[in-house]
Amino acid sequence: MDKEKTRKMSTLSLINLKKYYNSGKRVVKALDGISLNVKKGDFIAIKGPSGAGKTTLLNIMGCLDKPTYGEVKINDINVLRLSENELAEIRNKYIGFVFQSFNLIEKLNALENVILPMMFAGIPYDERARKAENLLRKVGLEKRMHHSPSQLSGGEMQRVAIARALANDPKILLVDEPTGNLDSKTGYQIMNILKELNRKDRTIVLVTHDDNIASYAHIIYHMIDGKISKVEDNKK
Amino acid sequence: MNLREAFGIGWKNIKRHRIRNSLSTLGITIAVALLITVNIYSSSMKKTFVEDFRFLNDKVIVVRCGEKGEMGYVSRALPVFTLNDEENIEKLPHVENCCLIGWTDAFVVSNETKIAIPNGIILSQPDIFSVYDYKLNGTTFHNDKEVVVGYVFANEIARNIFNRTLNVGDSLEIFIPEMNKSFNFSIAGIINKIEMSTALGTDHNKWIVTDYTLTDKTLFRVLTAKATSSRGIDKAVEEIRQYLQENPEARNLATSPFVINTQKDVAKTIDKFAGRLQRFSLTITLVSLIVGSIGVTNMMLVAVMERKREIGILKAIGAKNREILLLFLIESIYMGLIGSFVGCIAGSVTGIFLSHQNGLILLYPVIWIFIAIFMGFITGILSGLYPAYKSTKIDVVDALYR
Repeated sequence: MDKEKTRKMSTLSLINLKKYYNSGKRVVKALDGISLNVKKGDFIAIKGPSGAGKTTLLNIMGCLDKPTYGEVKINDINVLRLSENELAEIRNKYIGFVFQSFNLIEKLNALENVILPMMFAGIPYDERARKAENLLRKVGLEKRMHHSPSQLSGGEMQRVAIARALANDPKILLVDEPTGNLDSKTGYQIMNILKELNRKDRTIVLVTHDDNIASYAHIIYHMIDGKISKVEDNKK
Repeated sequence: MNLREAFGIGWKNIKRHRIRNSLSTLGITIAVALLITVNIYSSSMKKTFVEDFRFLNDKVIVVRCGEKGEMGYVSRALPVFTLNDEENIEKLPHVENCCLIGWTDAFVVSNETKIAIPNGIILSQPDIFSVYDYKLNGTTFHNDKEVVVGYVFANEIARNIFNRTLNVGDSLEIFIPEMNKSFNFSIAGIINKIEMSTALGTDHNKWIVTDYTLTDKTLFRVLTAKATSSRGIDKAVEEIRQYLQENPEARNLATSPFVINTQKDVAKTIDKFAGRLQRFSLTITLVSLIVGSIGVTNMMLVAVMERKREIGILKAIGAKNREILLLFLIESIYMGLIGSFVGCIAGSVTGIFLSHQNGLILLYPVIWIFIAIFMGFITGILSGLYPAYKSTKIDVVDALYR
């Protein structure tokens, strides 16, 4: 894919997305005709109960999964037509993931976890080490850089995950229940980091079932049974 | 991700499960160890035999009658050659001279104690040393009152028996059980040191040689001839063979076939035998490598399943399929290389030990170390291909959420 073209990607469009699973003889409609647009600098929350299809939607947005029908466009490029390698490049350079269960690699320390996406992006060793240290400093982990995930608290692990998601300076940050495994105080700290990132023009798509967490977003999409039931403007 | 980084990550992963990975490389280790052991042994054996037959200069022909051993060498030669044969063979156009060799049990007498001479006393003719081109300190024996002794006998063995070395002109008392009689010999000459190993059980450095007239033997076990030139050796061999086939006396005495050895055909036989041994070891090694590679494949498949989540994370943060494939392939290459390295060490130790134990001259075939490591490398790649391919087929969502 043309590098210059992909560098400018900042918006995400989902058009009539459907994702169906076969569960025995029954067809489960995880997503049933979702359409939405994410613009540069948006802070969007997708809110809904468990099983509403939020995570499935986030995975499709992040090119981790493919819909049964519909289109996913990142900067007007239909990503469903891209090869596996091109999708990997998009995940590496233009999308940052933050998962509920942190998904850090246990055998690597905090610094190495943050370095990893930069390694796949081909950034030289010195540069990525310096950048990873800066990112960890920004999320307040300057003294925990060389600790392995098992030596970190839940909040610290999520901060490492955020630093990792920001490693290649992605345009869009996809965040799945970021405070789900954290206490309320730590959750608040994490949300403030995300809020600050958005304030610096980072596009954030957040998935949650929690009203308080969703309230950080500017637009809240309410999802139920694979459909968007309500769109709430939360700009204050 | 560049290759250096991939090798770094692969090494970290290998180190995390040291015992498990070591056990799964055991098959490769055994295969390579076997290959190296057999190659060290066969190369050393080849070198030893070549050295052993070096005393056969390129003009010497040795004829024996008996069953041929694996190496084309008769170990139990029959007494079939006569003085008549010697005279007739010496007249052949491409034969310069000819000698008969026999032996009988003998003991060195020292302070009224008798010490057995390992190969007995050699009974031959004075020009035996000119046939072999042996240099003497002194002269050859002129009659059965004189002996010529080998370098090791004159120095090391004599020092053990008499507490002194022997010199030309010294006397030596030897008891011959066959004749139930002791003889006093004068040492006419000492053979200069000959480079030959002891693998065949004979060492001319330990010889005590006297004239055949000492006993009333008329039949001899070995006939040695010297060709007129090294070029003419094949013709000389052919003439001797023809003589032995056509001569009724020799034919009647020989109950076994005649075996004619020259330096050239001995080298050929050794090459053939060593080659056969190497091919056999290579076959076993290949079978063992296949078994070993199944072990590595199995281990790698377990590793892929265990690290499903990690693969999912790597894919989510942008690792391409070829990078994931490379990571797993590198791990299996490491396992193949570790297996072959350990195998090389184990095989070298075993091969050196066995060669030493069997009195062989050590020859370390370095090229086989490179071949073995290359084989380990290829086995690593082949056994890692399927697991590595499987790792790229892991579904990211399935790996991250289930």
